Amino acid sequence: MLYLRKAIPHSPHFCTNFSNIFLQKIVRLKNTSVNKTGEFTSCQVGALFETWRQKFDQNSISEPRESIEYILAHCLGTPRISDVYKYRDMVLDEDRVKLVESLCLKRLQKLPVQYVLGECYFRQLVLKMSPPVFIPRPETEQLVDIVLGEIDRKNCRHFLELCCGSGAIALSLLQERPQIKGTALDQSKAACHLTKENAQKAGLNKRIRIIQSQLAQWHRCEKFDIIVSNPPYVFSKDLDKLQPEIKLYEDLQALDGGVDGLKVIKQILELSSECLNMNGKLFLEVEPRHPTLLQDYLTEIYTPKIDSSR
Amino acid sequence: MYLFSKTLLRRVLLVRKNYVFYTTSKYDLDLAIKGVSLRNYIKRLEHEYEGLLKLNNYTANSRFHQLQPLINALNERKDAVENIQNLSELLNEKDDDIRKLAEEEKLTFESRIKSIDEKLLEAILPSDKEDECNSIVLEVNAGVGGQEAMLFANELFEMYCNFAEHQGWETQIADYSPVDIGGIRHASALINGPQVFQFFKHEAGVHRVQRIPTTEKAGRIHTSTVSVVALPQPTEIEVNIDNKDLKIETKRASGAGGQHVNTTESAVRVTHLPTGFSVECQVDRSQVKNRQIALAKLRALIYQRDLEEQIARNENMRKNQVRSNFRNEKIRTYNFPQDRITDHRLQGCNVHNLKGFLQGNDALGSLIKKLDQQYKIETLLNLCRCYFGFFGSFISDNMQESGADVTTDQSLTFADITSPSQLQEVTLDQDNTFSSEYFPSKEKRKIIILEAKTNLNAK
Repeated sequence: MLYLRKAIPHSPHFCTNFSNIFLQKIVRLKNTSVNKTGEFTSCQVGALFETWRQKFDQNSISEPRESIEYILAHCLGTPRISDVYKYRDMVLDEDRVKLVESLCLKRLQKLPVQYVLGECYFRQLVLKMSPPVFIPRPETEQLVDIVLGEIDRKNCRHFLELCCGSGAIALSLLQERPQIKGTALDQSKAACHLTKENAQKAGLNKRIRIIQSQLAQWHRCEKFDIIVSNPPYVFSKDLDKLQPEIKLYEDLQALDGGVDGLKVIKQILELSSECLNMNGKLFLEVEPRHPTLLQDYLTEIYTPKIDSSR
Repeated sequence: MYLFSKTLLRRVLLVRKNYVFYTTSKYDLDLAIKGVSLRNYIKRLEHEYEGLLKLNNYTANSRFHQLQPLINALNERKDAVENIQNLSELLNEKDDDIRKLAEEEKLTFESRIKSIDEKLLEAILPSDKEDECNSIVLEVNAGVGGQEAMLFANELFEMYCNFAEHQGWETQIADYSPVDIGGIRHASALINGPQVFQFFKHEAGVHRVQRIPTTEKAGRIHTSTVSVVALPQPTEIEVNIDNKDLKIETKRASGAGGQHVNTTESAVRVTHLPTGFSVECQVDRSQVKNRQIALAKLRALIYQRDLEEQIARNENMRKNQVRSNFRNEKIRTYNFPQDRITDHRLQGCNVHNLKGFLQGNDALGSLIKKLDQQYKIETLLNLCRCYFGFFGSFISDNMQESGADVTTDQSLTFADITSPSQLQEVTLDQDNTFSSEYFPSKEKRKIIILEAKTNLNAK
């Protein structure tokens, strides 16, 4: 048992290949010694998985299975969910069991998994997460795809991200296109701080400028080829119906788009009309109901055409 | 075709009666596998090599690189034989000391020839095109036998993952669908490593397990099956997927998404619209990774479909071609009560220590090596057979022109070919492996080239 304890890698960010070799050994030892009964001992990955899955289920936590999968994968230090099943015979030492349990208890209080783990996978990045900064959603990964296409077509050099939150969009763009630079803006101090930290973590801090400012108060002296944003767009009346995970822990300012969900979007449109270069483009993630609303709004107010994708 | 082979057969048999065996010295190249002489086959390869040398950019030809080691070994051998012949004078020398020295010398050369012959045998064994393939998709599916099959599927999958890790190959699990009792319905992995396909192609097929399941109360032995599929993973150039043809869905495309929902789920479903293939993946915490994995799998599926189409088109030609066997044949039995593994492709090959075997260590590796060796020898024999059977007259004419020796050992192999279908099957093998210059009739050649072209276009 002592050997087992020593062999288990302690850092969650342990180099995966290396840790696999250790894990392998443990699995083999396991097969010969402890698992003769065929039952899981309480410190085994498989047992932890089962107990907590049931507990989550009983407490009607959303995604019980995924939640425990992610927590265990995090504690095993692997990005792969399948490893949780692969190493289900592995015995964890006390510290790790305690870690798993403390994380699970947090999850029981409906804290989103990304906050529980303090990290979130977005495209090729692992971003640090801390409440109440908005957690990037998988749909936004597709927005990045669209913007990357535009960058390649036009060979752009400098982009602006509004309402950057944790910096997911800006940092992904910077990481995947090493020739460009970016400016990120958010009104929340916590968000700007997190973006900065994530930029440092990804080694991208030299190519990003982070500004904390209200949208309306930012004095715009520069022009950009591309402006991209995932602004708050939830209708105020829908806020109440959101999952408890979101309502309790996420900054509602990052979600609330006013009566028609367009409050911030309108500000962005106005700002874009000043800050976009000739033939520049604005990319927004909006609600399914918004495209028609936006079209009406734009034809009403602006005469020049502004392309609104998504 | 049947008639043709019959008349040929008669001719060769006739020739055999009258022909005088013609051997120059005992150091002539005389390799044989299972009593089949490879001499003329090697000559053919040499001939092909010379033909390749005439081409302008022969160094770029992959066949050239395939043949190079063989030719090197042959040249080495020629040198050794020459050296021995040069010694013959010294061997007749009256001086004892010199003669002794010469004899010693001769012995070293003879042993060198022996080792070269072994090398030659290695070099001559044919390799499939896919053997070069450095990445594959391995799929394990539970078959007949319900839960028990699922449990065993999991054990097999773990065995392969361990084996890959043991070999130092990079494994990425692409799909893993566990059931509550601990088994899996299906799972797949992308494995990267030098010539992995050469190993895993022999694992494809139906694996049978016989044991008392943990779920069985009456203590009866059950037989269940698990099927394993190994697909070579094509490069992006080999299978080019147009982004327009893809429908990429994050799983909860229905209902509200975006800021309204927070989920951990990163599952992706990719559908290839022209073929209707759909692949799901949710093994990684990152959605982009999942998408990459799904795409790799999709590409392998499309590649496989292209191959199968090609095979189907020639179905009547190669009824018992090896590749089509890869799928549904029962290849191995794992018998737990007797602690024994029997591979049905190797005669009398039983491996014991099942538990150890399932850990995916050297036991599996050595079994696969044996299978590979046997497979290669069989393919080679097939090649020789058809080659000297079918092209016997053609070659001998050719060789007589060039003044080469022709012995009649090949008639032996020719007689082995009994059914006309076998002959046809072989012609295709030839096409896969050799330049078409050796095909007997021009028309046949044209047809095959045409087919090859259409295949390319279809891709």
